[in-house]
This record gives sequence, structure tokens and C-alpha cells, in this order.
Amino acid sequence: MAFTYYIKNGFSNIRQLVTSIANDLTSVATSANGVQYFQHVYGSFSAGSSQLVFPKGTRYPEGNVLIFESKLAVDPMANVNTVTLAGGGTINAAWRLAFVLHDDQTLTVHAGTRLTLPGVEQTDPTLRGNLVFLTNRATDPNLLEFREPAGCMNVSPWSQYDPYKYKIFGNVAAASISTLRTNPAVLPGPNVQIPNEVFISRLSSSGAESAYPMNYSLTMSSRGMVLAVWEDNQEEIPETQLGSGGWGLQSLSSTDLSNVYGNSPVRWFAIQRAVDRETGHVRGGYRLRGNVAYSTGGVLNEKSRCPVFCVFGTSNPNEYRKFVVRENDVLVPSPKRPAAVNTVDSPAILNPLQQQSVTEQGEFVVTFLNNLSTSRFRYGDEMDLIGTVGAEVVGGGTNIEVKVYQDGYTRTYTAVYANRQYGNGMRIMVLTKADYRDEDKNTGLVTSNVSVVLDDIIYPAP
Amino acid sequence: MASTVANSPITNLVPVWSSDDDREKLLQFRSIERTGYLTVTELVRDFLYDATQEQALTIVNVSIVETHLSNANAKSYFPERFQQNTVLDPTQPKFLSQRIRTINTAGAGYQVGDILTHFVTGANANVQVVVTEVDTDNVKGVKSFEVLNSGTYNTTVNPLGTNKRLEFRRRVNTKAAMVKGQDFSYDNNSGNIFIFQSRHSGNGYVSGTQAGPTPVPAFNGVVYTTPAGAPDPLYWSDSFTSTSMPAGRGGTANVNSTSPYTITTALTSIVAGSTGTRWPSDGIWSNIGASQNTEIFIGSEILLKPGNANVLSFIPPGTLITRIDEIEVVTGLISKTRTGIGPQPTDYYEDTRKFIWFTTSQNLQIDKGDHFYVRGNGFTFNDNTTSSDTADVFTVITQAKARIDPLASDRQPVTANVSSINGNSVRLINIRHGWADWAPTIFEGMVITHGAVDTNGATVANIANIQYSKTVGGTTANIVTDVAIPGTVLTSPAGTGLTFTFNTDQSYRLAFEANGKQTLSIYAGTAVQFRDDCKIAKVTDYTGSVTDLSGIMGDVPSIPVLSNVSPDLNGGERLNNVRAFVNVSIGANTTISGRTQFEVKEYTGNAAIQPGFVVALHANGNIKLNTTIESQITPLLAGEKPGGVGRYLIANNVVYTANVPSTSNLTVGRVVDRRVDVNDITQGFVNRSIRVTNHPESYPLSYFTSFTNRGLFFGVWEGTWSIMQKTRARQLNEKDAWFSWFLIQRPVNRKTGQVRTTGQSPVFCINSVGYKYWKFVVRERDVMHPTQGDSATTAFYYNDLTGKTEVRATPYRVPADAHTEDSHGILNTTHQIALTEDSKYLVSFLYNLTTPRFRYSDELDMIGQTAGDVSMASSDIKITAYSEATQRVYKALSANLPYNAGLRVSVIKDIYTA
Repeated sequence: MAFTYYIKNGFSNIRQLVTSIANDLTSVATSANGVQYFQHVYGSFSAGSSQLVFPKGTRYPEGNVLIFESKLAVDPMANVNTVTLAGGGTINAAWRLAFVLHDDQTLTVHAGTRLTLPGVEQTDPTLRGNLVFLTNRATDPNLLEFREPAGCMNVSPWSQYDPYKYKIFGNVAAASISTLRTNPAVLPGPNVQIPNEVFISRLSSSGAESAYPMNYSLTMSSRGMVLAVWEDNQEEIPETQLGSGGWGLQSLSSTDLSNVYGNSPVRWFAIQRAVDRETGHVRGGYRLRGNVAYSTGGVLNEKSRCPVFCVFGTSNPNEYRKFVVRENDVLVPSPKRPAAVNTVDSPAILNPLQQQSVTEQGEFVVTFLNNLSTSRFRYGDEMDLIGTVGAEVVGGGTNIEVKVYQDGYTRTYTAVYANRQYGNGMRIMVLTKADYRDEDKNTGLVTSNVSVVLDDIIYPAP
Repeated sequence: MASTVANSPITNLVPVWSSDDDREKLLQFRSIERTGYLTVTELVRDFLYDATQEQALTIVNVSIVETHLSNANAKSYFPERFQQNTVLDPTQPKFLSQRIRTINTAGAGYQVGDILTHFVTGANANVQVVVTEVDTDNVKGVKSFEVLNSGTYNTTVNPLGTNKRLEFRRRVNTKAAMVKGQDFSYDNNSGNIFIFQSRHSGNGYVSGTQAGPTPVPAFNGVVYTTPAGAPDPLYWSDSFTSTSMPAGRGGTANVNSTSPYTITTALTSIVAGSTGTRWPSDGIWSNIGASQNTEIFIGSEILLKPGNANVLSFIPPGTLITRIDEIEVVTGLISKTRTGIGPQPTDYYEDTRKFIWFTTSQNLQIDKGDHFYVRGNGFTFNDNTTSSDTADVFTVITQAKARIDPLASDRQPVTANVSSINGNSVRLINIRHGWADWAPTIFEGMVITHGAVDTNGATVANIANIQYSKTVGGTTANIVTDVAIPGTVLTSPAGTGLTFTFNTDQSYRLAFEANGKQTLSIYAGTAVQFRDDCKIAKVTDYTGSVTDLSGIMGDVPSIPVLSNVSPDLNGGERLNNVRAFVNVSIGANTTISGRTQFEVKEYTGNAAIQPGFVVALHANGNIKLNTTIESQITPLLAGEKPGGVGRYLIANNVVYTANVPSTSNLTVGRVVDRRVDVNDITQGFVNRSIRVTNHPESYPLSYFTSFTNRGLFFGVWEGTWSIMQKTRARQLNEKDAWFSWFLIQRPVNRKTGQVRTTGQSPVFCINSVGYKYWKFVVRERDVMHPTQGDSATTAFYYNDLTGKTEVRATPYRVPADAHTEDSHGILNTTHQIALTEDSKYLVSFLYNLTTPRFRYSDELDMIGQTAGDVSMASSDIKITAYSEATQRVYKALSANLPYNAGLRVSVIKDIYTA
């Protein structure tokens, strides 16, 4: 199956960035080995077009929502178990990814399913593209309120909402209820001035976008994806907001954990179905299902809930979150939990702090994300698309080659930028090559497509 | 008293591949559980007994603070050193008991406060006691006493032995006098004053104008008439003639003319108004006066000072002073004519001299010029028995033995025969060593030696395929092991004997310190921190202030002990003339809170007051507030110098909400020690002095310990109280700590299970006290101290009550359950999921191990962590680890959250046999 990695540089605004990402997600070009990983299911985007997504002038969410659905190449469960729902729409075992532009500087990213990120499968066109919001679960209608959408990749809850305005029923004239229901403009939104409420905030770069160009790294594999976005020169971006006096000593010397590192020059998320910690086989793939393909009854053999894990982070140690995008029998995203702190029924899966990674032999240890669990079960699996390492032992952009699991080949993991100023703290390593052949070695262009063909090691076609 | 309810059989950690016959000789492993203790002191006593019996720990030294002689003032500190490798009598695990010191002979002549020194010629002892109570009768024997100093008495023998009667005598006085007849003088070296008929400097009594005889310089031969009506015939004699004195008392001293002179003990009565025998005819006269007389008392023994005595002088041993009389003797008249114009009348004054007259219990033979000592006499006590109770306050220094630490100093070489050679690998058989109690094990890094074989200094690089054959017996366990030796191809023929040993000593030590019946602290470190004298090393900051105790488990001891008040800040300074101002003043009804300044208005110390010094607010004899000087406020005013008079800012973490009494003053000084706060359950190891108080019967203690060839585990809990009642202990705002434990282990390879004995070979300590979880490195190959957290360490924690993560400061500590800089969290102590989809549950060893220098892929396999609700306390959990053929058995212990929630640790206990 396929494995594709892109790294692209120089995007000065979010429209350019998301347009390029959308093209990469849905490409079937040679760069993607002729395989399509995601299908576009909602939003003003046409694959292969250079037209920018998110038409100017439109306001969130109308017209500014792009939704993609995982396909078989990135999700072994993608094309199974599609059921038509009474009353319209279909539901399947795939997961979805949505990009939402709130204003020119603010992008949120959402993961979910057809239920929470409805698209073309909805027979009611008015529901397509409407993100499904959570409520505060109040039982008093006068207190029932909308919150943020499920599966939103932010570390602070959306705060731009008016308790009166966004109440679902209470204190609203009966005649207005239907209007409120159908008019998404009154739904809550993020406070665009708070970077932690969104995935990317370019507010600090307003009017100077070209001075802080954005770059992204996109890995798509048979079991999931990783997207990392960062700004140039980020290692020297001050951890605190620059005052009018310029580079102040305070900002250079501050190591206060509560400070937001340069208003998030590095943001990333990974969504993947976990792999077995011994064999590397993906949960949901047929190897863990007794080698029985779905087409021959494999779906019946699948005993696992096959959770899809999503973990994402900013640069602040306390600001890594994780949630379960879906399971086979849970069709909505779980609540977000801290990814770096042990909380109730949710162990930490990564260490984002300055850390010791060097062994006595002078080697350094890269840790895959482990300790995975859902609200019901603990998994001995790992997320192998990213690893974490002490930032100072490897420079940003450096490739390291490792043999893991029972692979018959060497993988390449590429270091992304560190989460602390001056290359300190933790660094994530993104899987960028797996099972390359000799003829693929020369395709590793820095700025574009590093494409490799992955033989049937991790996940076979059904 | 404690009772053993369960005593697990010795079990084997090493896989048994063929047969379990004679399995016990392969055992690398023992676990013991006991329950029913009312005090932590009894519990740790039995644990130490177990540990020494199992050859896990050796007791380096024990010091016991003796409290039974005076519960109110436990002053004594009395080390009793045990011989190395002493195996205690199994029938008497009472080695932490106080000696019972009973008074054997009360003696005589003591006073409260007398410091008595052990006085046995030739005895290697300098034990001192202080007399705390004497009999009120004339004999003044000792009724009670306390042991004062830390002598080295009984340093090499078992304290349970016999012959522990010690005789104590009063220390000689620092002043003495020679017998010089009339002249008074001091001997600064020693001894009291004993002078025969020495002159007293006092003047006499005005007798009026009555004429009398001419005064003479001595009373020998004086005839003098005392005025009528004198009240006391002893003080007033109406006539005095030389005929009344014994023969030979001529001249200026009463023994100088016919030396040696024998004084008899008979006292001639003195009768007022009569002549002849009115003066004491026998005894010793002294002029030392009332002030010095207080140091001489009835019952004191009198001795001759060696060296100065006349060769014929002799005082029989045990001679006591039996009577003391003070006598003022009129020795003559002094006439003095009044001044004035014309003839003036003459007044007559008595010339008197004071004498102290001592009567002795036996006849003496002494001479003028002799020096004397005096002291209390006869006090002895017995200490040949020990109390039936365990001591309340003690320190035990132990050292890990090779039984639990391959790199311990007492390891023995392992020998084996070569069975076959395959390249760089050799197969060994007949592996054995000198211990009968457990199986010989070859560890990586061992040096291979054999005189006949060229091993080129090879070391063991890898142990593969350890197999134990079924023919096991005695001390020669027949074990087959494949040992890889890189770079060296052995040419040894089959049957060649090889010796394996380490050429390095990386021993570590544990210290157990009981601060009372219900408070126990445990330390881990090396012989550098825990020396043979039972002192625990302290950790200091740049000011020299003590910030922590080295290697102590649990949280940082919070009670600072300030240096003694002295004129120099090197020893501390009490600043009485200190005024706090701005938002606080030292006066009635004042509250201190927040960031506070204080002003030193007068300062005479030499050393500068520095940031980091502690400021303590004293009031009514108690320390009301402790905080730290943050800085001196600058700019300094005119006349102020840094560290002297001026204003200081104290740390802004001050919270003091009580009123400040008007009598308060401030003390500034270094923290010279720290003590565990018995009110804080997160300090010490087990700290329940407050909670159980006088009712420990409701909270019997249990402990579980496991010894393996790579470490030990020790856990203490109280029945099922932890499950029933600790609802809010997790928030650390209640004084409950039902389960404390520590693990000290050398890590094992995550794939093979081999113990890491090469490289820097770190020893890890994980401990849980008061539901806080810490870790440190006990030692490494080249690091001889336990590690510590940074003062600014913070960690993110999940708050069960608020449902939010929060930053929690953990100064000087490295959390085991949260990530911090350069330290991975290795425990999950919150609610957690352990069940997998296939109805199994996961138990994970502790991994992601780091030292300040390196990261390790190893694991700590002696404990496993899982969710509290998948297994109940005391359940057995069977685990297959490291591809071993035999399952291990882990014992689940208490969960850390209420009602069997949260983390449950399970400890290796056995191997599974159907």
C-alpha cells in the first residue's frame, strides 16, 4: 500500500496553506503513488485546482468549511460497514477531517465522523458542512447551551459565545428557535485572539505574513496521518510576546511554562489507528483479524473496537491534548484529555518537557506514543507515526533511520522543530519513509514529494 | 505484640527450566509479609530482623536514643555498634530495644546535676551520666540519672551480653588547694580544697570595751574568754587553752609537727562554758568557706591526689566524709584606739577564723602538704538487660548485601567449569559460589579470571540462555549458562574452571530512623552519606543552610532547625532589636501575610546576613514563623552595609495568620538541620504520630517485603483502612497516609531481564509517602550520592476535585508520577484503565528510566503497576515476563485512591507453580 510524505514551504496565508494541504490529501498524482488517501466530501474545493479554498468574503462557517473523509489508503476500516440511515445520510467506519477558516488569520481543525462532520452523504443539503456542536448537557431547557464542536483540535475551549444567544431553547422566543437552529452564524466560535482556542492563529503575523511564512509536513500512511505546521525562524521566536521595545531580555530569558511559545509557531496533529507494539500490525488491519479480508467476512471477525487516536500539540507543555476520534461502536469523538498529564482514566502518552534521551552508549532514544487507552479499554499498542525525543539531541529536519517492530526494512523519521525556544524541550519525530526501494531513494526532494511505495507489510487490501 | 500471620516460602525468580526439585537452592528470591504491629518501631525492627536473616541487609550500626530513664528529657544518645555480619539470635529479635539501666548501688554524696564518669580502670569507656535526682537523706544516693554522652562503650560485643555493670563516680572538681598551713591557695588542676587550720580572711565580732588577753596568731595556747551569753558553744567558746588540744598540734598547722599524724574518728564533744576538750580533737579542718563547701558533702569519698602525697600518707579506699561542721573560732582580740583630740578609748575586736571540719568514716594517715580529691561514691548501675519494648528513637544504618545487590562489597566470586566453547561464547556448567542460601548468578560485566587460561582480561558481555539443570543440591547448583565474551575466544578446554567476579564495589546503604513510636524515616544513599557513626548527611544551599536530608524518602522535612544563637552568624544570630515594618509590625494583634520586610536596627554580628538565611519569629519561647530572606532591599541607606543593619525582604510565600505577640523577636540564621513534621503525612516514611495517638490498636500495621538478586521492596499499610476511609487523602488535605512503600532496584534489560551491572550501573529508588510519589538515583558507579530535585522543580498534576490540571511545585524532589525536566514520569497515579478488549488487564513495569545524565531502556521489574479496580489487594497476579518459561507471581497491594481506584502496585513475590 501507499505511503506518502510531503514537506512544503513558503505559505504566507492560511488559504494558500490549506489549499495545498487539501490538494495533497486528495491527490492521486504520481507524487501520491497514484493512490488517493482522502476524499473531499464538503467545501469549496476542487482537487487539482489552484483556486484558493475558503472564498474571500464568506464568514464562518458558511463556505469556510472543508471536510475530507479517510479512504482505504489511510484507514483500513474506511470502506467497510457503510449503512444508510433512515431519514437521510449514511454512516461508515471511516473518520473525517475538517478545516474551518474563522477569519483570515484563524484556522481550526476538527476530526470526527459523518455524524459530526456531515458532508455530501447527507440527503438534506442544509445539513452538509454544519459542524455538530456539543451542549452543556443541562436538563433545564433554559440552561441548555451550545459549546464547541466535538473533535475540535484546540487546547482551550471556545469562549466566543453568548450564553443568551447560544442557548438552544431557553429564554428565546418560540419564533426564534427555528431560526437559531438553522442559522449557524449564531453558534459559538473561538476567540480568535486566543491562539490556544484554534489550531493556527496568524494574528501575530498580521500585515507581516511574508515575514513569517508557514511550512507544513504531511505524512499519510496506511494507518493514519500526521500534519505539522510551523513558521520559519521559529527557534528564535520569543516565547513571550514582543514588546514595542523589541527583543527584551525578559522574553529571551523566560522559561515560564505558562508562557505561550511565540504564539504557537509549531502546531501538529496525528490521527492514526494504533499498531501492535511487538509486530507493528495495525489494529483494524487484516493481520490482526486472522488474515481475513473484509470482503470475505473479515468484518465479522473484527473483535477490536479499533479506536482511532488523535493527539495534537502546541508548544506549551501543558497544552497537548488527545482524544479518540471514533471507535467501531462509538461514532463520535471522545472528550479531549491532556496528553502529557495523567488524568482520570487517561494516562499521559508523551513527555513534552526538556528530557534526557541519551543512553550510556551515546545513542538517543525516540519514544513512540504509548500508554494508549480509551474510556473503556487499555491498549498495549503504540502510535508509530510520531515519536518524541529530547530536542537537543537531534536538529530540526534531521532524518534518522531505525528498524522497529519486525520490519524487514529501515524507517526514516524526520525531526520537526522543538517545542521550546532555541531548540530546547521536546521534539517530535515524524515518520517520513517506510520500506523504500532502491529506485525510490533518489526521489527525496526536499521541498516536495518524498514518495515511497510500501509493500504489504502493515496493511493489506481487503 | 506483632505476630506473623503469613510467611511466604522462599521462591525463585530465576526460571527453572527442567525440574522444580530442590528449587529452593536456586532461589534468588524471598518475600515476607507480617501484620499486627501497633507501632512502626516494632514493625521496622522485625523488618530489619527479616532483612538480616535473609542476608539482604547488614547492620552497620545502631544508635538508640534512650528515653526510658526520663521520659520528660530524653537526652541520651547512645550508639551501640554491631559487628559486621552479626546474625542476631532468631529467638530474640529485640536488638532495637533500649538497655534497662537499673540502679544497682545508689552510692552516696551526690547532688543533682553531678556529671559522673565511668570509672573503671582500664575500661575503654567514657560514658557519662548526669544525676537527676538524689535521695534527700544524708547519704544522698542517686535516685535517677540520664546517660549524657555518646561514648563508645561496648563497641564490639553483643549488647545482650553480660557484665554491663558500670560504676560511676563524680568528676573531680576543677579547683583544689594544697595544704600549706595558714596560706590559702588554689591548685587549678583538680580537686577540692582541704587545708588544716588554714587562715580564714574574715574579721570578727565587736565585743565592746571589755579587756581581754593579748591576741596570738594561732589558737594553740590561746587563752581567751568569750563574752557571756554567746548563743552557740560551737561558735563561741568562753575559754580556750592549749591544754585542751591534742598533743602535737603545735605551730601553724595541726598536723605538721609530728607528721605523719593519725586522726581518729572520735569527736570530742564541745560543751559551752567548760574547758579542756571543747574543740574537735580529730578530723580535718578546712577553710574553704560556704561557697566551696557546697561541693563537698556528706557521703563524698575522700582520696589522696596521687603524686603529691607523702609516701606514708594513706586514705583507705572508700573512705567517706561522714560529717561536716562549720566552726568560727575566736583566736584573739584586736584592740583599736579611737581617733580624736586627747585621750581616746580603745575598742576591742575579736579576731575570728572560719573552719570547716570534716569527719571521715575511717582513720586516715595524712600529712601537711597533701592534696585531696573528693567525689561522690558508690553509684553503680546495671545494664545487662534490655527492655521488652522496642526503642522509640533510634537510627539504624544498613548496607545492602550481595544477596540483593550484585555489586555489593560482600559478593563472592562465582566459579564454573567450561562445558563447551562456541566462538566468543562459552557454555558453563557446575556454576557455584560460597553461599549456601541462594543460587550463584553470573552478571554482565563480571571479570573472568583463570590462571591457566588466557582470557585477556575479558569481561562478561552478555548472558544468554541461562539454564538450570534439575540436579541441584547443596552449594553446587549445576547450572548451564551461555556466556558471551566479546573479542576474546577462549581456548579453554572443556572442564576448565573459570572464576567470575566484579572488581568494583558499588555498595549502597539504607538508613532507618525512628523519631518516635509512630514516625519512621527511611534514607537511601551510600556509606559517604550514612557513616558508621549513624549520622545522616544534610544537603545545603549556597548559604550553607540545610535544605534537605540526603537520600530521605518522602517529601522534604519542613521543620528547620536554626543554628544556635551566638555572636557570629556562623552559628546564628538572634536579633532582638529587629523591627518589621511596611505591612507588619511586631506587636499585639498583628497579622503577617504576603511579602514582608523587616528591618535590622542594630547588628553586631560579624557575618553578613545573606539571602537564603531563615528568619524565625519567636514568641513566648516558640517559633511562630519561618521564612527565608530573599534579598536585602537596595539601595542601602547611609551607614548601612550589606548584610548588616538595614532592611530585608523575606520570601513571598509567607503565610502567618495568627497574632504576633508583643514579646516577639526575630532570629536570623542558617538552617543547620531539618526535622520531619509529624503533622505532615507526606514527610518521613510512615508518619502517624498524630492520627493514631493513643489508639493504635484500631490501626494495626502490616508490611510486605521482597528481596531479589537486584533489589528490595518494602511496603507498610494498615489493613483495609485505605480502602474504606481515605476519600480525600488524594488531595493531600487530610492527614491520612495508609500505604507507604519504596522500591530500590538495579534495573533489568527490557528484553532479556538481565540486571544492569555494567556502565554507570544506576540504582533507582521509587517511593510513595502520603500518596506522593518520588524517585531518585541512589548511586551510580561514579556517583556516590543520592540525586535530588531542583529547588524550582514543578510538575503538572491532575486535580481530582477541580477536574483540571495544575502546576504543583515539588522543590528538591523529582516526581515519579509526572514528567519534569530531564525526568520521565514512570507511574500513573490517577484513575486509569487497565482492561484490554479481550478481558485481560495490563500490568506494566516501570520504564522510561532516566538519570541526570542518561536515558535507559531498562525497566524496574520488581513492581508492576495496574489499575486499582482490576485486582484486589493481596491478590496474586501471574505474569509472564522476558520470555521466561515460568510465570512470575506478583502480589497486588493497596490502591492509592478510595474504593480500589487509581493505581495499584503489585510486587514480585514468587514464581508460579501449579
